[in-house]
Amino acid sequence: MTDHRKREKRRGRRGGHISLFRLSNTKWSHAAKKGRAREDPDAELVRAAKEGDTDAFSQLVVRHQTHVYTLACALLGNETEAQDAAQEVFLNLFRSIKKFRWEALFSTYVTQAVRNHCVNRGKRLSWWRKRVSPLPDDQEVPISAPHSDPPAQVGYTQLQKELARALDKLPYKYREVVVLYGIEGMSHAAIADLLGVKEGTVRARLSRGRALLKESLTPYFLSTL
Amino acid sequence: MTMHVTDLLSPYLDGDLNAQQQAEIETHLSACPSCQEELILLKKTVELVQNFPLREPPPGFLFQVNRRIAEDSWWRRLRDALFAPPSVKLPLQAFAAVAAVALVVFLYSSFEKRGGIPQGQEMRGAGGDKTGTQGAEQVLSPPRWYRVTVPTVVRDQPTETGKEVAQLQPDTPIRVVAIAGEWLKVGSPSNPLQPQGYVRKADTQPE
Repeated sequence: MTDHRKREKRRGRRGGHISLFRLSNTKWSHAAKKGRAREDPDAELVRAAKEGDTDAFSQLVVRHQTHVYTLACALLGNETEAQDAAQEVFLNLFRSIKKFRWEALFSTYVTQAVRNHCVNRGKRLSWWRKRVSPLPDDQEVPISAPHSDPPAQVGYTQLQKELARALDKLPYKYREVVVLYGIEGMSHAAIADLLGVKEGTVRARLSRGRALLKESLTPYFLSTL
Repeated sequence: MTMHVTDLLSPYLDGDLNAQQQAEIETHLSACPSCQEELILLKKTVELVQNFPLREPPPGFLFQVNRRIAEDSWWRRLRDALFAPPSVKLPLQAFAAVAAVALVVFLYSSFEKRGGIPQGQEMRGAGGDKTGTQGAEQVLSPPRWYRVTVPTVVRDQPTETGKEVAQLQPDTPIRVVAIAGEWLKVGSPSNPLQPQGYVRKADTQPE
């Protein structure tokens, strides 16, 4: 069995959870970690937070809160859930920050922490909506209005609501790939490493996820033509 | 016309195909309005996702995070470590649910086996609050029929000093509802002709 298969199997057994501060099985040299620590814009704050400086950690929260909250909203499709998830992500980061060894940039770890936290929550929400409490078709997905130009704001907001609804309908394994690639701007390789799957799988899920998303959005696109 | 290329449109948009595939798709697109439409819709979808707006957390978010950090303690971490991961929590919850159902089924079946009401509750001291000298009263369910063998009397209490209620002649059938030591409790609430009270067991025999 290849290393990749072993890793996937191990992660599968743990219900999709992987260690908060472990991006991949790659063994980074001390020099590589040191180099990354130098180029990381969060390095000073992380160092201070590792020594117990709560003010430094608060500054890290302020820096990354929009990123974390946006990603949680996109993955969970619900602002209340996203707010709770974002708070828990920061709490987990605070608890584990002493174990952070610069195997990646701090912002990458934050992304990974959000994904790991949302994976089970998102699946549970999808399961709940599908089988227990589906969103009625006429109910608006509670996503707030974006800060765009006033003339375009009305149409743009409606579009975003349609997108949020379509993302919410997407099976979680496709949704996370579409979000990580499209919103986070991560590469296929980075997503594959994060999820513990092959790059080919990421490409296939991205293609399938986009196709499903397009199917959901087509009626809206056609109605606005 | 070659086959539709809808499956390759996503990597085509990302520029993720080699030059030959790219050229083939462009050739196909130039002659296929259906795939052209698919490409336009897919492009709109991709742009929409890329333009997903940044969400600002609600006011007070930092305060709430700091409060949770301040309230954090070792036992909360332990609790979260033990119960928060769904991989641990869900099987535990499932096990608890199964155990609860099993307990209910077990209790119900044991209750049924004992005839609805545990017998111990039906065994009450016959003279416990009357004479205090007699043993426990054993309820007969259903009641049994006895026949009087010698002339005897029905008394209101299972003692020789009890008040005489009726006299019975030999061969009289009596309906016995309980046995209290050496005495039989006789009577039938629905039959007023049946004497109500206690008869000496030695003066009767079961039918």
